[in-house]
Amino acid sequence: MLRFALERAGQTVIVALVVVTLAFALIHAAPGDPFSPSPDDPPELAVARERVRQTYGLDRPVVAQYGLMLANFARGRFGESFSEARPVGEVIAAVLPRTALLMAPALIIGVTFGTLVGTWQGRRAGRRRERIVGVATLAVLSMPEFLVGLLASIVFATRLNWLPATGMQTADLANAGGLPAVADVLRHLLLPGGTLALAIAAMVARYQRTSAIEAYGEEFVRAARAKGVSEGRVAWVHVLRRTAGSLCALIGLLLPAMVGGAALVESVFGWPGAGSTLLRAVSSRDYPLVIGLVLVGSVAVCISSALADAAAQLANPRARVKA
Amino acid sequence: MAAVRQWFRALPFTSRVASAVLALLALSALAAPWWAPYDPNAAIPAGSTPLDAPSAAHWLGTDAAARDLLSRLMHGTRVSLATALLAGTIVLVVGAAWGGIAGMASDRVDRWMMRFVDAMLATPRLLIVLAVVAFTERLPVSGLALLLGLTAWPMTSRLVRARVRELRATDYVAAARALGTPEPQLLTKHILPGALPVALVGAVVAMASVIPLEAGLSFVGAGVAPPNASWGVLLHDGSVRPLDAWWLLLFPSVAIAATVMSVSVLADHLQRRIRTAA
Repeated sequence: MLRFALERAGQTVIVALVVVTLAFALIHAAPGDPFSPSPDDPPELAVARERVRQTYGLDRPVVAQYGLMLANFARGRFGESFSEARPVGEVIAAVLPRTALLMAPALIIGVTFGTLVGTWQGRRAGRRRERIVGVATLAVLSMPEFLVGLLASIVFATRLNWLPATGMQTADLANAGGLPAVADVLRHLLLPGGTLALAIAAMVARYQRTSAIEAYGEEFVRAARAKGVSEGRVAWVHVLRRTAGSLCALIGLLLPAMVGGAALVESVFGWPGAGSTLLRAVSSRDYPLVIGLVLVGSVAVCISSALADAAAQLANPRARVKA
Repeated sequence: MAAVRQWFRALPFTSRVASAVLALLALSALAAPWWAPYDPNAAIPAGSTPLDAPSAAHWLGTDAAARDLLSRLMHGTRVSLATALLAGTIVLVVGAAWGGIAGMASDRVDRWMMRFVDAMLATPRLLIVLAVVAFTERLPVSGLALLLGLTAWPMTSRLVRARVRELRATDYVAAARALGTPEPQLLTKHILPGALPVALVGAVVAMASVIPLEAGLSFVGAGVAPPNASWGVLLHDGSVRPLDAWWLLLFPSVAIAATVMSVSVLADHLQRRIRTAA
């Protein structure tokens, strides 16, 4: 386990280094100097640019710049956001919890639901109803998440007016506090969270189906059945236990791939999290904020997928890295 | 032609539908400059109004700027499919090269090459693409395709490496080596052809993931730039007035979903073929 932890920590460092190097290359390859003041800047932006130039050490030799950038990034100093006129670290600290608030329930519900469906499919593989479910999951997977979100928002928010289309809370309710405020956030969470949960469930179901089919074909299932273990217990104890490892490994692989879709969903629903902030920063050329968010996001994803892989090893003794 | 027909008949039903859908889309994309009824980027000069519902004159209706949606969809399909194809080619070449070299290399080099691949797989692709988009003034479509391809190959290289390791241990490779075939030639002539099917599947799967990415980026204005059409651009145009101009959203959505679904079905089919052949 120690060796595994060290290996994954090393990997996270590699990822961070690759991202920083890329950022460094981009800053220098960009046409002109992206941080040089332009004559039509308002005074506070000029100040921000100057401060960023110092953080990145743009007035020093190139090698010193790279070192300074690394040192500053390691301490969480990313300079000042051009568009929000406050330190990038502060912006990130404000938006990351909101993304977590969206992702955590979506992941839990999506993985649970996907596992249930996939295991069910695994037992009935090839039958008619199972094939219909299979086509449905493939259809969900074929739609980009943001498109599912867009359609859901058109139907449930614009057309039926059941749920709010954008944002995280209603202004008057947020100030009221207490239970009404919580209920309000939940109502806002339902559409974007449901969209992500649906996409996650479809992906998980597709993989879980394959590993459940495999598990159902194994001897221990026959043995359990021969002992008179009920079908329900076979599915949710024996088969689920057998597939738990590859399920966790799948989540570890899915996380990095899912970030893109999640960012776009946030943007569709105006959810004020890291994803929509990043997209806004890209379109307003807020370079320090882009670099900060990309770096923090990559490292966060890297660590979470390492945790998922660790869970995979705990769940499946055969996959444990030999120490 | 007879060979194509025979190949087509041997496919299972779903794969047949999928390849027919893709062939239709590819044909309309290829023929767009000649067959598209109107100029995709200009308002129709006479006799049309903005936001016309589908009619005999405009099969798929017109958009808010009085442009013909069918023409825009055909040209958009061209852009989106070309992007996916270019990215898929990059995945195929880079993935096969990286995986092939890692598979043939010494254990130490192999471990480092694969460590890099793992790091790439753990990095969210969209973040990298967005960082590059933010710093480039105006990314051309080919640049976008290049970027999407260069962030998509690691999974394929992993598959190729595993296959190369398998093939390296076979008797015919041992025989070729005993005859004095140099290592590079061993890889290109004897091993990579055997790993090609795996690389192909990897590239097709990558294409199925590149199409939604391109659409998403263009949708939020970070990909293909309007007035040029791509599926993402069309979806963005369609999202503005979803209730009264439903056709603007419906047809591009169907195009994307049908394409991704067909590509996934074909990828599944290829994967099954490889597994039964192995």
